[in-house]
Amino acid sequence: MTDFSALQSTSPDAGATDRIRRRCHQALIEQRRDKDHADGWLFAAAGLYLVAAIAQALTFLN
Amino acid sequence: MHDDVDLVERLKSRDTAAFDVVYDRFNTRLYTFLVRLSRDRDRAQDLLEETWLRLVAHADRLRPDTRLGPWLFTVARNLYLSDCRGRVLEQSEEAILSQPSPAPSPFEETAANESQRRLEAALASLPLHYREVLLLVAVEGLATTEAATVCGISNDALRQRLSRGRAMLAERMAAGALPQLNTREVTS
Repeated sequence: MTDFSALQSTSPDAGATDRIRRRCHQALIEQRRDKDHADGWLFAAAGLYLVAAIAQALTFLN
Repeated sequence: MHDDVDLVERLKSRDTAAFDVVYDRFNTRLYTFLVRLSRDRDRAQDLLEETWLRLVAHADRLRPDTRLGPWLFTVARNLYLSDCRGRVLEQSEEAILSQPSPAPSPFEETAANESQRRLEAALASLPLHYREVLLLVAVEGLATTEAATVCGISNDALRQRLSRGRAMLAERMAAGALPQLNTREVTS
């Protein structure tokens, strides 16, 4: 049986390792910001809808 | 120790610390796998970068039970095959997978001794569909079911390839000879 345990492993150069990590961090941060932004709009729209519904209900009751 | 369920959950929340844990765990393994597949460090580096960017881009679509190792090796392997197809458009995946290797592995130059060099040379000389299953199971330690998923084949087919690959590797190590070069091989 062939012994594979002695095979070497290798890493990309340090510059590439850091660059890839930075790019991925940046992408994750941008995605989170976009999601927060979208969530903010969704929350605002839901609030507006609620206010409109309450106003309509009060109009109806009066 | 972070388990995959926890890491996937945190990745879905775009947690950069969780990304770092996954990155530190798999970066060297993925790069080594890609270098042995492509036999080209620069090409492997480009494919590695694309693999990580795919993880980030697809983080929110990961299933909670995703096994990150097999997922990453699947993406890396598929990116390599796509890259091969892009270089030689007329070749089918099967043709790419079955061709013998024409180029030495970069690991041959840095092998610590003669037996290691012969193993690297024999491994690099195998057709890709044998080389990839040996790399995934024997070198990276993936379970055969995980390796079958990575390669998109059945467990039985995986076991057959593994068995045939081991036999071919042993023959080539014993012979100490490289196979005839195929000039149509997809390489960088």
